[in-house]
Amino acid sequence: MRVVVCLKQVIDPLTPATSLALDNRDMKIRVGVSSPPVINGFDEQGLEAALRLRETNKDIEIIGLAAGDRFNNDVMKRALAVGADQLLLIQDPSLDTWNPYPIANALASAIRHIGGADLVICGRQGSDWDNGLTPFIVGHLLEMPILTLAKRVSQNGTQLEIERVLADGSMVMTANLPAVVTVTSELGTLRMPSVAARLAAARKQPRQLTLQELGAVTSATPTPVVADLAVPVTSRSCTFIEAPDGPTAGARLAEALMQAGAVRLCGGV
Amino acid sequence: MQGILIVAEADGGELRPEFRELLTAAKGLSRSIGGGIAIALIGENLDAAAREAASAGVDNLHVVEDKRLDAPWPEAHAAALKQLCNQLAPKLVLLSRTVLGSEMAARVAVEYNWPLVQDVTEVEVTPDGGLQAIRLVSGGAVTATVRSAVGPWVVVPRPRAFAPTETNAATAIEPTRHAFAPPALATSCGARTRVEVEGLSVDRAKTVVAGGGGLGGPQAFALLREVADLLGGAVGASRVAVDSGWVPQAHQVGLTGKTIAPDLYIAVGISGAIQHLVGCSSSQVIVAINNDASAPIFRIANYGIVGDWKEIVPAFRDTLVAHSSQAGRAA
Amino acid sequence: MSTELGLRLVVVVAAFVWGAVRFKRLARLLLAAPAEPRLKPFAPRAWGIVVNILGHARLLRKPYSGLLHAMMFFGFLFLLTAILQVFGEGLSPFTLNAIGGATWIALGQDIFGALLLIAVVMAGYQRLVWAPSRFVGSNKADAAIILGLVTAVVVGMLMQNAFHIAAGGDPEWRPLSSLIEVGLTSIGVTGAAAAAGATVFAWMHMFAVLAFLIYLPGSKHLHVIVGIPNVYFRDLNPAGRLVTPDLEQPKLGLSDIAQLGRKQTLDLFACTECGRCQELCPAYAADKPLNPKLLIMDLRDHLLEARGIGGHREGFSGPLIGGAIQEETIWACTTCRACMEACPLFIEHVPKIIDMRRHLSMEAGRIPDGISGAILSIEQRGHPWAGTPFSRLDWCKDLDLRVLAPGESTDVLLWVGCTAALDSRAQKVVRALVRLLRAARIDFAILGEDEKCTGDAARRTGNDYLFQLQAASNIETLNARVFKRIVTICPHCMNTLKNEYSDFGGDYEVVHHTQLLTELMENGSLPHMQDCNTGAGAVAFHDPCYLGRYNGEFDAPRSVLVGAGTDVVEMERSHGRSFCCGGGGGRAFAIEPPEQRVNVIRATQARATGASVLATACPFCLLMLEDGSKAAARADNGKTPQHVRDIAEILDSALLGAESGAAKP
Repeated sequence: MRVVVCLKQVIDPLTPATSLALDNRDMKIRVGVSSPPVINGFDEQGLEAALRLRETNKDIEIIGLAAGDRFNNDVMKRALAVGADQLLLIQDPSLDTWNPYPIANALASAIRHIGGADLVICGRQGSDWDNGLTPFIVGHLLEMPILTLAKRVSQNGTQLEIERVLADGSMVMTANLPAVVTVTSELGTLRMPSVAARLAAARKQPRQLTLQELGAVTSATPTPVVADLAVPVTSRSCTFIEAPDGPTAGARLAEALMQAGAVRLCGGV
Repeated sequence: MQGILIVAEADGGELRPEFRELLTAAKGLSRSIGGGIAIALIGENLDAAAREAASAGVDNLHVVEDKRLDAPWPEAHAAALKQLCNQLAPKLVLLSRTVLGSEMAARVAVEYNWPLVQDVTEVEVTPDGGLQAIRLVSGGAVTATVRSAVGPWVVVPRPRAFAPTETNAATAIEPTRHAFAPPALATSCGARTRVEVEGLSVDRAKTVVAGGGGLGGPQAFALLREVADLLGGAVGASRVAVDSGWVPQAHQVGLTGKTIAPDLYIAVGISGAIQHLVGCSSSQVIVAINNDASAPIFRIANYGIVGDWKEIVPAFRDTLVAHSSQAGRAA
Repeated sequence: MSTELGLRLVVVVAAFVWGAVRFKRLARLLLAAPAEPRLKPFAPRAWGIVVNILGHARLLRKPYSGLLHAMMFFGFLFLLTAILQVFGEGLSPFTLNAIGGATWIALGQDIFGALLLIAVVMAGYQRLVWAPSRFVGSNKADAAIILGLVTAVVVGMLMQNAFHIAAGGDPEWRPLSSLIEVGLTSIGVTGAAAAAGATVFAWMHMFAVLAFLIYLPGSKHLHVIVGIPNVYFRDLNPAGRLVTPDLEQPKLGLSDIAQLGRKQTLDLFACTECGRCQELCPAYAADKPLNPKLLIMDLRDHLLEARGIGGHREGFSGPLIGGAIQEETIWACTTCRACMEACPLFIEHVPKIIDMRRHLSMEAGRIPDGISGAILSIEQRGHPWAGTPFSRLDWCKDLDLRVLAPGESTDVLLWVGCTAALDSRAQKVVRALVRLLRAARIDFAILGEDEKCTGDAARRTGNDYLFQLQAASNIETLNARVFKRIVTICPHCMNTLKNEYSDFGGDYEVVHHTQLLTELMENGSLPHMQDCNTGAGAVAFHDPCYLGRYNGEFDAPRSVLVGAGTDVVEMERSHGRSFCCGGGGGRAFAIEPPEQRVNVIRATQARATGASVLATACPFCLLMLEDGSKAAARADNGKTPQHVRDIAEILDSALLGAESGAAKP
């Protein structure tokens, strides 16, 4: 069984805001070279989901697939280090975009190019643009059913079962393979690779694919155009409650809030 | 194509209040987009919800009721919405940014190749007839202004970005009922597990007391629960607390949790990573208690204490208790 | 040959054979262990034996125990002559009389015999009456047997000589034996009866010695054989320098007891279960599942079990990690080295723990949550403080500091460290230092964004792969610039840069900021304000483990404090006995159970001095103890927490007063 895990190289979401630079000419968000990129956290969890499937079904081939520009191979090869059998990178300047259509088109074309997949796993959204649209476009292009927000992914023969996260619990959902699944943070973190696996991965090279060889030409897409990027301005200023010790501060805070009418007491307990 | 279609969600027969925010957005846009405002109600056992929606002051109400639509099954609900879109040909579809609404929006937009704008805080029609919106990206660290020249559009506003329209019209409109006739659906639903959420739901409460990584463990949430109960509010949590297993996901506030805008939001031991701030920054009054003076949470707070919550929160609670018992005696 | 002589020969030979079998099993076990390069250099290693074995250097830190042990040690050393005699003379016409066997040797035997008996009484009193807590967990039966055997040997010898005198032997030079003899005579034991008695006690003496021989390999008393080589083979490297593993090896770290190196294995048999490590261990004091003494005992018994050698506690079959040693034990260690500093036989507890961590981190991928987040952060963004709102230059963006580009040179390179750059509390420390350096007109620069985590936390939590990546990166950065020396506020950075980067081509002169400040005060670049009334008052000082125990620097921080006009108050656990803040070994990033907090214990100790300020010299100590100080104050009925400040901040306040804008206590 072949499982393709879609990966996206993104700016480290923990980059301090002071290190972000907004390029209003190209409408891109950039960071300095001292902030290396990372694999999108949800996509790493996609890798974890695939690895867990392989724990029960040894006969699974895991392929990491990414579409973007200026890949940092050390970062992307983490997929190999944790246990993916192959890493495919589609690199092109046109893929440095917030528009999910060219990216999804590239991903779907690559999956067709390698002969298809039984299961495509994506993270629920990318931490850069938070669209969450790419998995739907990929599913649509590959004509596969789409199951989302999985905190558990398991396989019963040709059927795929997930436990989908809801606001107030969860729900089991199923679909026949081949299918697209997105995963969310409740699934758990990606396992740490052993050093032996890292060293082996360091010796491997990702396979490079071009848009031309994939025939992944994207014509007009409906995606809106980014017209401006700005840092949101917060207009609040914080009144710090000063006090010689914690308990006094707590008491003063309560007083301040009651005075400001921000607090409604319910005689609670 | 014309008209604005609002997708209202019903949960267990009860109409979720988010549609009122969508109504506000729709009203603003209907000045430029003609064809009236319609509400789509998709689900099962919708009588009560339909009555409420019928009095919301819109032009049309379309109901798709079917037992297959009882569970929040995204593919089925999206199929019902597509059915309505085929029939009604709206110019703009508004959905709430819930787990179900976001997915319906994505499925419809992809299926029809329509522009989709999510998490918008402002939206308007431009003089040339296109749509312009402002949304948050990079986990909330950056705002992007996006433009789309040609509709129809699918728009998913940020929760609480638009104030809810509370009007209830004197006259109720007659709903148009549609039979649910989906194509073959590729996914299926199974058993549903509901996690009992103690107390008020975090997105319904007017006061939320939230805890984060600084609490160090689940025991501290009992103290927050006490404070929340005193204030008639709900307990919230940051992603760290939920991922650490200290509280169920239903309490999570933030980018992948709930976006809320209570009157009072008290953040205890929450550093204020941007992905959390986007979930709570629209609150009226924000109070932050954190050991670290440089924690980003203070940048959006109205009141702050730099210190140890273990010392501050019990005293805070005690002062409230003292006042409420005084008020009780005085009453 | 008389039957008695024949019997003696048989017994002796049998005992020797039995003993030899038992010793040989241990020798085989040791030789099977992978060799470690500990043979050279001879001179310092041999000198260590003089100082520590003959000189009882570490043992005498506990004067009572040290004295009683010295009495036993030198007693037995001297009584080797008696052993020679009882076997030699018992089996042949051999005698030591030619070299004084009947004169000063005889006298010595009586004197040392008496000392030995007194020492046994002292030991018995300590164990039974005082019962110090360090013996909790030790094998009490073993100790009793040994004391019993010692007594039997000495009594056997004395009684043998006494009876011999009663039978007509020469009482000269044997005052104690003579005294006993007087008693014997008074009850009518003379002549043939006395001669028989002498024979009986000669047998007892001999039996006791043979029993010792046979018992030794299965007892902690084996240390009498193993102790001297263990001291010889001790680690002569700087304390803060761990062995760099070859990452290309198929096995990384310690997961099977067969992998344990030869000296590491010898350690297990050198252990006397004295508990000096246990009583100083901060993790043990905080009720964590780590006891350094039991760690060694458990490894020893697991090894014996694995080799099919009996005579040990039950329950040590199964794997090393998860069976004999629990994972939580391995992670509880702060690497403070109080155990190793105290051990009289130079047992190496910490390297064993780190080696097991290496397996868990680099092979098994099992690391506690908080620590794994910090380590992943070092890998992804070059520092362990994920979620910090700061980038590396934010702390100094208003200070107009010089960032050293490749090819440029400076006198002093200020290595800021991740904590000082990215934690808002620690930033104040390095800012204070900058003010001081400027006041002293030092030519210094920083690396800015090119500075990455030294990798200390990665190495101490077993991820040597990441550590080596960090080292390579930093060394490339450092070697591209020119500077005389590096100064840093963080002892962990200092230790790694100074002692560990040399394995990777980085040789630098590195000083801690307190060392530089001392130098600046001594050469007049900074004023010295001892005896000035700076209002600084009494200050308790906490010796950071990586500065003090690891790198031998106890004086510089105190000099600076004195020079800042403060009165330094010493805590009971100070200098080499300092009690860890709990932050080392990756523990600063771990999620601590609330009832097991090392930092609270230390902060409580600091609070007990009554000083209003606790001075530190390490950013981790600063953060850990500030947190601990609040908890300690809460436990003390919510009074004011002790203020915790770095020495740089204290000096900065004292020198530059109000204009510096430094935080007031």
